[in-house]
Order: sequence, then C-alpha cells, then structure tokens
Amino acid sequence: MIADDLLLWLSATRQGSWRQFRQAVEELNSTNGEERIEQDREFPLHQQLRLDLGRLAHVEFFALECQDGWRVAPPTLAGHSISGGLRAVLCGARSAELCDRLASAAGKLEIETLSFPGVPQVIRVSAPQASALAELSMHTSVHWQEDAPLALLLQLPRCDLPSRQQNRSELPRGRDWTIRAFEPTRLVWRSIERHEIEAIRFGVLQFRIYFQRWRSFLRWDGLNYEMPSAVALYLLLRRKRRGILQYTRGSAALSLPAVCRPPLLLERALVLCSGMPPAYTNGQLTYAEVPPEVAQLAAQLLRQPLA
Amino acid sequence: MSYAAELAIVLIAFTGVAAWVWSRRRRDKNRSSASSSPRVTTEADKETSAAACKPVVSTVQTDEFMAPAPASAIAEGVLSPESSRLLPLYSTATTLPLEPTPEPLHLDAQFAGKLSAGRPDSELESPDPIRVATESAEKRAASNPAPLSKTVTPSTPLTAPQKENRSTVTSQRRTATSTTQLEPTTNTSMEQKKEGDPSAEASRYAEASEADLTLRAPTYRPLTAPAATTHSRSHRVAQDGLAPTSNSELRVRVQIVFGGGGVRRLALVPDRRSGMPPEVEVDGTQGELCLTELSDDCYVPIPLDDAANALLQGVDWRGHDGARKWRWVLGGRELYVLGPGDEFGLHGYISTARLRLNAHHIILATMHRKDEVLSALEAAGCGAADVSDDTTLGVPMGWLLFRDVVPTRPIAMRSERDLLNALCPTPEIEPHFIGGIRLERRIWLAGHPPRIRFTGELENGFEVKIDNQPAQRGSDGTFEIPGWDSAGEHRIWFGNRAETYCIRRMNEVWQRWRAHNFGGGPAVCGASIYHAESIRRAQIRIPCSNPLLLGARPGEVFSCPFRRDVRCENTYASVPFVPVWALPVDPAHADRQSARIMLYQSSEPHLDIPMYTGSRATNRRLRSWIAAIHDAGCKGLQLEPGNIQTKALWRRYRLAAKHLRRSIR
Repeated sequence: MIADDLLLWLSATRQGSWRQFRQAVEELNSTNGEERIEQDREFPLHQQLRLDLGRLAHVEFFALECQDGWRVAPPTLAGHSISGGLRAVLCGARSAELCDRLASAAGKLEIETLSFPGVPQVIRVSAPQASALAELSMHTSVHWQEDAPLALLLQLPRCDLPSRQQNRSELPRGRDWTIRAFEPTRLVWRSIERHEIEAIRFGVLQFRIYFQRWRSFLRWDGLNYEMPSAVALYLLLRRKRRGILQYTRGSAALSLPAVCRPPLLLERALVLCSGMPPAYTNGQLTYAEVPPEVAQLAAQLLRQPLA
Repeated sequence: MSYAAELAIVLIAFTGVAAWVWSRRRRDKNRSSASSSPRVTTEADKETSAAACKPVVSTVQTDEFMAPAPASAIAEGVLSPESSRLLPLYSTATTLPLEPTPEPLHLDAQFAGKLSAGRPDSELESPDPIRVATESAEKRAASNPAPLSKTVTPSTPLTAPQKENRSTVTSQRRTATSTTQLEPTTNTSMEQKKEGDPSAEASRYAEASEADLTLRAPTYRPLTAPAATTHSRSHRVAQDGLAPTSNSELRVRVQIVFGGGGVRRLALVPDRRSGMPPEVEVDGTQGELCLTELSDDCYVPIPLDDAANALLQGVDWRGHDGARKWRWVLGGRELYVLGPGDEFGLHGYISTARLRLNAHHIILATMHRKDEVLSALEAAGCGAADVSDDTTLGVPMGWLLFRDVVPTRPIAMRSERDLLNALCPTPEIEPHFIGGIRLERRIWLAGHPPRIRFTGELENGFEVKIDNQPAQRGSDGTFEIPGWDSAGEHRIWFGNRAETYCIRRMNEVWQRWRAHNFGGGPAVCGASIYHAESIRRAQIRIPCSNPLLLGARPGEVFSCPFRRDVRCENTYASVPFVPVWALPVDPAHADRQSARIMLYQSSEPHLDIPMYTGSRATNRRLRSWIAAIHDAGCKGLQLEPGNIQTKALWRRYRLAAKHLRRSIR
C-alpha cells in the first residue's frame, strides 16, 4: 500500500521538507500513469496521509526541529493496558529488517498485523507483563513507552483561554480571503462576510486565501487570538455549554463529531489506546478500546463533560 | 503692391511656415516622448497582506512555438521611427537581457489558485497593442524571422505575448528527445530564423486592424522534422524527471488523471526552475491565481475549468516576484500527446511532444481531427485505440480521447510543420526506471527497486547489459539479471550508452528529540515521553495518592509532580532511580484508614553510602528519605500488598532508616 511505502520512504529519508513529502506522495501514488489511490479534490491525499501519520505517532510534522516539514519519530513500542495484560503498538520509523527482528524476537508473545485503508500496517504485540515487552524492545533496539496514552495525556495542557500575556492577533486583511465561522449549535462551518465579524463577540473564525491552509482565530469578547482550530473550537463549545463527547463503557469507545476533531496530540493518545485509526460513521469519529481513565482525562483536557 | 507690402506678406508667410514646422516638430517630439515612456502595467488591485512580492528574475519561455502576429493584427501606418523603440511591457525595471534573436516561444501556461475561465479580455492589463505590434515587427524585421506558419490558428493574433517574447526568449538549443519532446527542437527555431522576408513581415503586420490587438495566447507551432538529434546529458537528466538547467525555459504540461470511468481531472502542470519562489501569484487571461511548489521541477497541478476552450485557444498568465518576471503561456492546439507521468514524479498522464515507441500514451484531439489521428496511429503501428468522445466523463466538449496508444513503428516526421508530426514516434532509445521507492535521483531503497524498461526502436538486435551481464526481458517488458536489485551501484549498458542506478539499504539510526515541549520537564516525541537529560530515568505509573517515591539507597527520594488542573487516579512520572516504595505525600499526617504504603519493587536497602558528603542537597535528600520511612512507620500505615514478605522488607527499611538516623545525629 502507498501508506506502507511512504512510511518506508520517510524512515529511510528521516527528515525533510513539506515539499519533499508531497512529492513523495505524488510519486508513490502513481504507477503506469494511474493513481493507486483516487484523490479527493477537497481533501488531498497528502493531507490525509499527513494527519494519519501524525495520529499514529509515526511522523512529526511542523514540530520543533522540523518546523518547515517533517521528521520521522524513532521506532517505539507504545504500551497500553488491556484485559489480562498489556499490548504495545509499533510506532515511528520502521524497516523490513526491523519488522523481521521484532517478529523473531517476539517468540511466544502474540504479534498481529492489521491493515486499514490509507494508513501503514498496524503491528501490535501482546504480553501478560510489561517486563516482557520491555525486554522485547531492548532486544530489537526499539524504545519502550509504558502506558503511552496516559503518559502522553499528562503532558498536554488543558484547552484554556490565552493568558493575559499572550499577544492578541490581527485578523488578515484584504478582500481575497475566504472567511467562515463555526456555529456551535449546529456544529457546522458557515461562510461569512467580513462585516459580519464585528457582530461576533465569541466565536471561532477561519481565514483562507487561494489554496493555502486555513488560519484559525478565537474571537473572545471582541479580541482575536490565533490558535489551533481544535483548541479554539473546544473553548467555544465550553462557553456555549455544548457537550459533544460520548463514552460507552461496555465497548470502551469514545465518540465525538468529526468536525470537532481533538488536537493532534490528544487524538494521538486516544489512537494509541488501540493502535487503530478512529472509525468514521455518519459524521462521528469513534476511538476504540479507550480505558475509562484515559477517556476521563481526555474529557478534562478538552473541558468537556463525558456523557 | 509696394515693396514693403510684399515683404510683409513674405514675412508673414515665412512666420506661418516656421510656426507650422515648429508645431509639427513639437507634436512629433511629444509623440516620441510618450512612446518612450515606460508603460505602467499596474498589478491587479490586491489588498491582501499575504501577497508578498519578492524580487523576480525575468524568465518566460515555454515549449511551444509561437507564431508571429498575423498580418491583420497591426494597423497600417504605425511603423514610425518613434514606435520602433523597444518598450518594456511592464512598468517595473526588468533585468531581462534583450534577446538578439526572437525564437518562437513555447507557450504553455499554468496557474494555480483562482482559476476562472472565460474572463473577458477587457479585464486584463494589456499594453498598447499597436506599439507592441510595431515593436515586434521591427524586431522581427531586424532578425529575419521565420514566415508565418500556415498552421497558425486564426483565433489568436499575437500582441503582448510577442512583446514578451522579445525580452524573454533565449537562444538555448533543445533537442527533441523523449523528455524534451515537451518542447519542439531548436532546429526548427533556427529554421525559422533563416526564413522570412522582413519587409513582407512588416507589411503583413501593417495590415492588421487595431480591433484585433487584444491580449490573447499565442498559438502552437507544430513540430517539423528535426536535424540529427543528440542525446545530451541534460536530456538524460531530464529523463529522470528533472528539469533542464536553463532558468529561462518554463514548460507547462497537460495532466490527465483517470478515475470513475472517465477523466477525473484535467490539469495543467507549470514548470519550476531553480531559484523560483515556492509560491508565485500570477495574473492573466483567467484571473488571479497562485502557483504553489510541488517539487523542484514543477508547481502543483491546477485543475482546468473550461478545458475545451483553454486547450484550443490557449492561455496567458504572468507572474512576478519583485524584479523577476515570468510568463506561462499555453499555445492553443488541436492535438495533445500524453505519456505516463511516473518519470516526472506525477501521477496520471503528462503531455509530451511526441509519441515514443513501445510506450503507453493517450491522445487528446479535436473531433474533426479524428480521421487524421486514427490514420497516423495506424501508420505508427498503434493498433486499435480506445476512443472516447465528450459524452465520456471529463472529456472536454468537442474533443476526443484516444487511450491505449502504443506505437510500435517509427515514422519519419514531415519536413513541413504539421500538427500530426507529434504522432510520429521518435525512435530514440531511452531507459525508464518505473516504480520502487526512490530515495534520491537514481537511488532506490533496497527491497523496493525500480523496474527497468526501454522505449524506442528496440529491434535490430537491441541488447541490454546490467553489470556486464546480458539482461533478460521479462513478460512485462522490463529487463533484469540475477542480483540486479541487490544493494550497491549497478551499471546498465544499451546501444552506445550507459546509465547507472543504485540500491541503498536503510540506515536504522533514528534519534529522539523534543518535538513537542510544553515547558520544562519531559517532551513528546512520537509515542514516547522524552527527557533530554543524560540521566537515565524510569518511567512508572503511580497513583496520585502516593506521589512520594523512595528508592533502595538512602537519599533516593522523589516527589512526583501531579497536575492540579485535572483529576486523575494515576499519574505518570519519570524517576531518576528505580522506586521501591510509594508513600503519601505527607506520611505523618496521612489518613491511617485509607492511606497505604505501596511496594513497587522488592529490593533490599543499600546502606553502603558515604555519610556527610558535604553536599547540602544530598544531605537534605538523605534526611528526607529517613524521615519519610520513620513517619510512615510511626503512623502505622498499611502496606500494599500486605503479605509477609512485604512486611519483612518494610521492617528492614525501617531498621535501616533508624540506624542512619542515629548515625547522623
């Protein structure tokens, strides 16, 4: 699959620019003039792959020391609790030799490979105790992270309002910008005109020009702050007292509307609970095998009640 | 009449004549100064703060030939000495060198962004067409340009584009190879220079009507039979999908992507050269657009609206980056040849100048060319092509799509310019590296090598050797030998040429770094929490009720920070030692009923430590360790697990703490 080939390419190249990434996606998606994966015009393949690779903790995009592009994360066995023991997901860089070493060193441990469309193969190892997984990681020269979802969530800040020290942002000027505002009641984005901005006292605005990425602004009490879209959305939802998280204890599934996708690292923690990308059904995203503790912590970070 | 009267009359007449001459001269002078003043071509009124202009280096050259303006394009009488002065098209100073010989431009255009087809020409910024035309005529007259091509389509008289040609055309030679077939050969351009009567050219231009002088894209100039082509290194380099080194050539290719039972997308791919910015705002016949880089060689493909008209009539866009200016022009034509875009690092099919033997192509042609195309394809040994008309999804109105075109027979090109020369397959043999995971130019990842295929005339004892071993041709037409995909460098010999490729193993060295740092403490990198210090830390999960960790050595005490903004039962800590016990934060005042002493690892206490190291911090930690065990013991907190071994171990720790406490008094 193209996602597997892409991860191999990223692992071999280690670090690069955004342009290199796009070009690699373009090359790998072409064979004999045909597309291996049909692209959605509204949501290009390279963007899909970028988000999926980030959620699955394989690659860091636009992070520290790779602000203009990407850098592959080192191979890591990310552990999480399951009934009867622990399970670890192989994240980060990989090679064919590494996978072979992992398979041979696993021995009696249960190792499974899952395939999902559009993402690299998910490799999971199960063991009754953490020490077995730690030993496996040592034999295969792979990092070991116990309780990865919890450890990750505990490092993340809450979705809070900007501090008083944070500088306010200026909204982009010019008539070529496309502007839209988020409606927390209907959970949709709607296009607005520039003159309508002044009437919005609390809201989330997005600006885009040509085919660039959207720039998100939190409008709070008439002041504007540029921040990640997900954080701004959840601040607005909290103000409007709109709860959108749903948790099913029986199936350990956490659901939320796809339009309100959580911040990347928080979503990464939810994905690492199972190693599988979220399921998308009828506008809802569902994260599987999320322990209650992790769901509670994620809800607190998002300032959301957990239904 | 008296002598005085006659003299007066003569003087008056003389004065009148002098005045007339003076006024005439003054008028001519004003006209001259007006013509010499640089024309200000104002940019579209852009208010966006995001539109940052960078210094621009003038370029502009495209692939297709641009026919000179037809005779009707220029009004009679505009050829005046003053108008012969060369005027820049834009107001800003350009660093463009004046080209000595105006080669026909290869005109293709590409735009990204707001592609709005059918924008009226009146919205465009167009220079004075008369002046432009006269300048072009004068220049052409001076340089013996080629005569007008008979195949020039009647729709596009050339004005501003020609003006631009004067300043941007280079004299770079390009030979017609499989990759440079994106543009016709310079031999044809040289032929153009030899022909033509300047005076006839000028007179033809003079006949044009002023009404026809609008900004329109130049027309495509068909191929003609080239001279003996040579394979230069630049073409072999271009074969790999890399652009020629010249910064003055900008090719624009047509891209077709299939899907959903038809043409899913028809787009234009603009060339990019080294030094060009990653984003360029352009303006032209279809409004304002923005090109965004995709690779070293090209910008992001732009979906083409109103493809039927755009392909036939062409487009004309211009961009600049401060002082540098570029131009992309699509010369309208009725026939396009496209090949697999793999070699260009693009998916779909990409336009090329000619068919290549034994390679898959698709043809896009207007309907009334159907019979000609089919005849030409049959002559080239293409077999039955799959023909789709505009009822097929995505096929432009009035056009036909020919698929599964695989020419097997070389056809000599016609000596005259003929659109159908593009359907004469070139016999030159070229290697193609298809598929695999390419790391760099000609370097592929071990385990994912490319397939090696050749196009061109492969008959007559065509041999391929890889690493000096005869290569066998597989069922898929690719060549290989045992070990052709092994790690290392490999050499391919074919005909009188040799190429190399390399297979490289993956270097499994990946470093962690602080990818996401939220202030102080550990950072996030992928799926792991990462401390930058060299101290090796143990990451453990502990309950928030027992944040005080004690190690086996006296002084190993760590108070886990836990968050107060969120409630959670457990926290995660990176501890610089292996913890043995986890105690409540204040054992002396803990609730005896609920608080517990938790055992993490059964390790005996180490008492072989030097006392009084002199470090205040060390002594403080030592006292804390002792005090925590003493307080928890005095409080009588329950142990967890509460078995005999745990109790015995706890007792030994209490004894050790008691002994140390006495020692330091």
